[in-house]
Amino acid sequence: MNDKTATFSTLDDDKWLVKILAISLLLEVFMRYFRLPFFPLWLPFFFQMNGKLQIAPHLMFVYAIFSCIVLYVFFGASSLDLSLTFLFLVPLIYQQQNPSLNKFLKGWRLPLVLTPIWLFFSIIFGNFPTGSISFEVFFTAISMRLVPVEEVAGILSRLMLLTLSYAIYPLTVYILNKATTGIRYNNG
Amino acid sequence: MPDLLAEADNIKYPLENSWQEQEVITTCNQCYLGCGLIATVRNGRVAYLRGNPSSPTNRGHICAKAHAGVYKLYHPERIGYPLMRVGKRGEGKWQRISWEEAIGKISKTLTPIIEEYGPQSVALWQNVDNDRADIFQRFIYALGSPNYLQHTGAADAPIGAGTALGPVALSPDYKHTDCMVIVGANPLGCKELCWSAREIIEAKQRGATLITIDPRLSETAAHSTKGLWLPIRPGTDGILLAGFANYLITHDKYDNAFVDQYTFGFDKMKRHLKKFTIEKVCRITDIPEKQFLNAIHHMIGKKTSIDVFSGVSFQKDGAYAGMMVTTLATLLGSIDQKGGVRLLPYPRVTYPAVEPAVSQPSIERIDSGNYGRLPMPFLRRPKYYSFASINQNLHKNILTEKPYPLKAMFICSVNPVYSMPNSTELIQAFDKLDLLVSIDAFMSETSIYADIVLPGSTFLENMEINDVFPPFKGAVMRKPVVKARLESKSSQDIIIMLAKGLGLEKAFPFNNYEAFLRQQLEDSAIDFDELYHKGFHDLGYETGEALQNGLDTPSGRIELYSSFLAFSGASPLPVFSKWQAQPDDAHSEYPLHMISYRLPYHANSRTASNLYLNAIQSENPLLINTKTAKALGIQTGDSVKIDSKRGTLTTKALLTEGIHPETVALSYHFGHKAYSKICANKGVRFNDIASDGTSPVTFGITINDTMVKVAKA
Repeated sequence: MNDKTATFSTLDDDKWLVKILAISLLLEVFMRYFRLPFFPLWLPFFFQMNGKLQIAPHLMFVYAIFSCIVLYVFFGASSLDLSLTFLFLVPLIYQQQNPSLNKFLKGWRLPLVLTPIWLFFSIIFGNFPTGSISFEVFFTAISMRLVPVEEVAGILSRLMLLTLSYAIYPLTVYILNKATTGIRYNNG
Repeated sequence: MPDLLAEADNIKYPLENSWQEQEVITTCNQCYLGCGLIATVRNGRVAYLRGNPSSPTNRGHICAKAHAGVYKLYHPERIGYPLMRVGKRGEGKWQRISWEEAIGKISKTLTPIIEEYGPQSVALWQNVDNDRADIFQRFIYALGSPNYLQHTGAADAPIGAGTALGPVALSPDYKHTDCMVIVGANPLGCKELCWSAREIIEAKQRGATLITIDPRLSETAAHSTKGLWLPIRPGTDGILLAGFANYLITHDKYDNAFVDQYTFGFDKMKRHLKKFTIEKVCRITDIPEKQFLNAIHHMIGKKTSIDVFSGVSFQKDGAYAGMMVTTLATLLGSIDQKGGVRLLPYPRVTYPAVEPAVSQPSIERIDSGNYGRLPMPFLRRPKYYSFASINQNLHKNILTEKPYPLKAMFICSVNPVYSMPNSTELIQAFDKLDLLVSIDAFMSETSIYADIVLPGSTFLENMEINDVFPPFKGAVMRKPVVKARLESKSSQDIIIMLAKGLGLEKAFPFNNYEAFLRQQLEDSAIDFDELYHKGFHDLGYETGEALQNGLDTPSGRIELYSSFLAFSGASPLPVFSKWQAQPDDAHSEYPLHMISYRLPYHANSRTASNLYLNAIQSENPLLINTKTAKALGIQTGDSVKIDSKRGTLTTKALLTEGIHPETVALSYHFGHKAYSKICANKGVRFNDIASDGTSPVTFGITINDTMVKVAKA
């Protein structure tokens, strides 16, 4: 890459897409193995929403389903609320062409948008405020040391996790850049 | 072997007016509790032992085991000298050697083992009931091996209770309680006898209720308040406690304010407990609904203490049953409250590291456990988050040389060939070792397989500190009452000698264990001199201080939904194997539960050799319910054959109304093949047919999950 800010979009080779998805999946397996509280499976969504990817919506929908299956394999039924949050990203992506929404979803605002969605599904599934998957529970528990109200700790916990997950975005861009060296990009 | 019996017979007792008598304060070690003792020493010999009235543990009282401690000291079959095996392993042929020769031979054999297989090929297996881990761990870690092994995981229930509370020890506050709930424990009959028995009886005299949950009418159950011995179906204790907890929640009888202020994850637990309805709980546990309601109504609104131990621990669901103890005590508002459950530090005292510091090498342990390395978030999950050693894995790992070959082992006052279920396999594993060294006062079933046996001294000859088990925040000290007999030495001093012989002087700049202790206690809260002169140092404990200071859990609160277990990969809420549809036990091949129990006058396997205690009881009949026995045509005194999937035992039957009809019970302590002529070939060994499984959460033993069939022999 000769331009650090270059996007991956509109490449003339579909291999990059496969690579991004494969790397996201591998990163997810790595995170689960080391029990790290990040969700690299979200990354293609982040890329897409930030306009760095131009994947067809139907493909993103397939990927979202696939991501849910992967989460289910790792976390079982306790990940249903998180999985639904994943799926909820798809309609947001459909709305990406809407400039105001697109602007709103860009950058660090995304965790803020996803947090209430996750909270909503957590309440539906009875996982609020404590959480259901291990680091969600752990983050809620340690948040109790900051705020004595379990509900507030639960909100903080989810926000923290999504932000942490989003925080590895620049790192992944770097990895993807390295991994895709040699592929000819159309940087627009 | 030295003829110590002849030596004892030749003692010339002095005339009374020439007696030189002195009293020495020390601490008992016949069980782990640590009762204060005063030894009367006449002309250099211990005449008798009595309780130390100042001791906060036993307040002057001692049990039969402590009285018989003198006989351990003067036992005629004690190992008096270092011995080297000259026959085949297990053949019992020995040659007396000097200490210098023994250390030299160990060093000469060990050095090439370490060179060829690495330091991890050496292990040390220690009895933590007898001694602290400190010097033993230092030795094996200084060698470069991570393989410090202690007793196998056998405290699932207290650990399960602790998952919600962090590293604390639950200790019932009998002094101020209104209601005592005792689950699978028998404090009036065995563990902590001299402390808790008296306090329980005093509480009862004050009007407190005693509820016992035990399939057997134990000494404690026999003192239950009328109608409150709950003879539960074995293995279902957690389900009963969950039923109690659910009752409190659904009837809004729990301590709302306490729960709000001190807990984490209550909503989750509340939802989880909904299914534990009285009807289903009573059906599974075989407790009548009326008795269930009677018991729970005695707890509501009272200062309730809860105690739990072996009966619940030695089973598959032990950890989750322990978790339910914490949940129930929390709902009753009893945790860390006067008259409830005190949270003593575990261990009772922590010390600054002794210089030079020696840490555990970062190599996988031979038992695949990770004692001392609690789960940390964001780290790869190891094979086991064990809280003790997983000794059930040892024979397999040694025989298969996985994760690596083990070639040398030091065993210190442990007797796994007797005390582990898989003794045959363990003996085969010992055959793979190039060096097996035993430090023991007696020629146990395990020591006879050793290459070198080093004579350990007994508790009346040793200096030791017990800061793990006292029922108060502090420590107790044992000190030499008399000089160690013959050429025996304390196991700690032997370890220091071995360390120096193996060139580990840098890690062991101490001449003896006393010097080590003095250095360790120098900057600690415990005063060496106070310990030495009084036998104990009580730092004082204020009820409520643990909760006020914040618990050592991620949330700092009582975690009813355990983030600790969530991270360790286990279910954060209790799950019980017996909750699923019950197999029709009455028609299965092995229809009866077999449980183990302790006798008040014996401790584990080591007191069977004691002449005085052996005279009280030396064999173990099978306790069987009268109705069950009648259906099988069995009478008291009949020889019966007990079959399990693992083997067969034959013993006498003892019919009793005091046991659940689907349960039979066999005490341990007996069935030795060696150890002493006094106990050899008397009684049967429970472990010969016991379940050799491993519990899912803490990887402890599951001997109380043994299923058997019984028939007239």
